[in-house]
Amino acid sequence: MSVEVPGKILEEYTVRRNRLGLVQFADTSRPIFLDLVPEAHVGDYVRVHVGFAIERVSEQEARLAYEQLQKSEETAELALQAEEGGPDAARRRKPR
Amino acid sequence: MIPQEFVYVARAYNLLSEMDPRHLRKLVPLAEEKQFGAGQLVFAEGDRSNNLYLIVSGEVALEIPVAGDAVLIQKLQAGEAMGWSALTAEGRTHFQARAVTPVSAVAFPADRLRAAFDCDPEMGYALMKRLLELVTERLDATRMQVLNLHRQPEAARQA
Repeated sequence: MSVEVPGKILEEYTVRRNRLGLVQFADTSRPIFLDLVPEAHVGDYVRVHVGFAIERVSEQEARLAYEQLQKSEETAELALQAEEGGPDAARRRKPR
Repeated sequence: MIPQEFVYVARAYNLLSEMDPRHLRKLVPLAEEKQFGAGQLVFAEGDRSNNLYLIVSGEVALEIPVAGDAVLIQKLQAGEAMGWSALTAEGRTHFQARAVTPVSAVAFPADRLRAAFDCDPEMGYALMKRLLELVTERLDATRMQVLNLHRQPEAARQA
């Protein structure tokens, strides 16, 4: 299951029967379907899954989700380094 | 003025975006995003069909492997679905699917999708209707390909 990432709606458009928004994530922005969150508009934060906004969240919730995501990424990186024997291990293992 | 990117995305998600939001609300959480590199096999012919895929970007070739070669059946682009045999009882793929370019797709695990259909037959019927259109289109493409193969055997074959 993909991680449900929160983002901020920057613009919104109606394309045929659908409402789409340009949603800003940490380092990118992309078009997202807003049909499941009729209450969300420009300036609001939404939780996104496979291209669809599935829930409106507060700015505080969005920030918290980002912090948790960042922590889990850092934890995963540390675990990988530990598995490899520390951050310097890869350098030590390089042939001379 | 609607940016072109939005029109493209609306078209790419056509299979889902035209569904009733009540159904969409149940379908979306079942899905996951998948990426495939150029040349990567999405599934092989006869494999257990584990996912129904909606192509969001990129191009996929549906092929039938024949004596070390591959006969192209159809090229699929954004907005098209593949792996519909995931919904049948036997659930084995009838073609092999190969990413021609980097491909981004939304994948619905077959077991979760079938369970959701059992719980909400109206939703199942709505999606199956859309998929039936897809199967019809695929059959037409196969017929055309067979005709081309009959007329120009070498041109219709692809490595």
